[in-house]
Amino acid sequence: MWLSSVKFINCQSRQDLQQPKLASTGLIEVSLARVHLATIMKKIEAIIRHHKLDAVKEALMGAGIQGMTVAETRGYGGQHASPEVYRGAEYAVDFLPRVKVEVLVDDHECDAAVGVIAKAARTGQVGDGRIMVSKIEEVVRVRTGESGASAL
Amino acid sequence: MKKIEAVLRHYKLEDVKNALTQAGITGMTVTEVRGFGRQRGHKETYRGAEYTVDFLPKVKLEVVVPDAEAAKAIETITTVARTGQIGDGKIFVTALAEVVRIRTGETGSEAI
Repeated sequence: MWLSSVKFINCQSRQDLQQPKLASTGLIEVSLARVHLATIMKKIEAIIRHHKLDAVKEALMGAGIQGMTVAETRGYGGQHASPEVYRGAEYAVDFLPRVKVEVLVDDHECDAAVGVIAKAARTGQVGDGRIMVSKIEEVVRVRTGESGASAL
Repeated sequence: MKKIEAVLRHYKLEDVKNALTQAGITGMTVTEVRGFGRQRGHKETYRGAEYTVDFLPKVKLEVVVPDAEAAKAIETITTVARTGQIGDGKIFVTALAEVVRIRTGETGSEAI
């Protein structure tokens, strides 16, 4: 049991948090560390094509990830300002419409969620979008005031 | 510095804005968003057919505050935006690496 706890910490040590010292690891220290680690949350922002929104939503629900926020955005990436011809005139279309999906997940679900989104949103053409992950320090549910992982 | 993002009901925006201003926190960015949470929206019947309304309209408010004021801002938003019903929204807090005021080039907490 002790060993499995230590392994748990080791596999989390990639995350840049204060890693507990293993040399003097006592059981109490381990369990405190687990509580601390359990509350790490990530925000995944994905900029995707409009017609992929439903596929991404279904895929995330299928993976057991609930809740998302969606906003309309415009942007461009590496291939910006590709000229488009409309009725004979050439236009530089640099800001293309996309949707931004934001999902909050527990740290251990993060890689799986990113994989799910990337797979569901891919067409293979230029303009499939980007996925960005950031660390969230705190989450509060407005209705109840709960914070941390229980508010996800 | 912290960035506080709060997804709220539309009609609470004005109240939250006033409460934050009173608490000495000025400046905010607001975006229209759609989203859903644990409840996955709700079912609605229209002309006999049932539809799931999953993406509900909300506003997202972003405020940047110095570390010392973050707790106060979260508290203010939570108290004011609460109705007690499902769909009150969520607040997310992230640490900011840098803030720059474009006009003057000031950085850090002077730029907030």
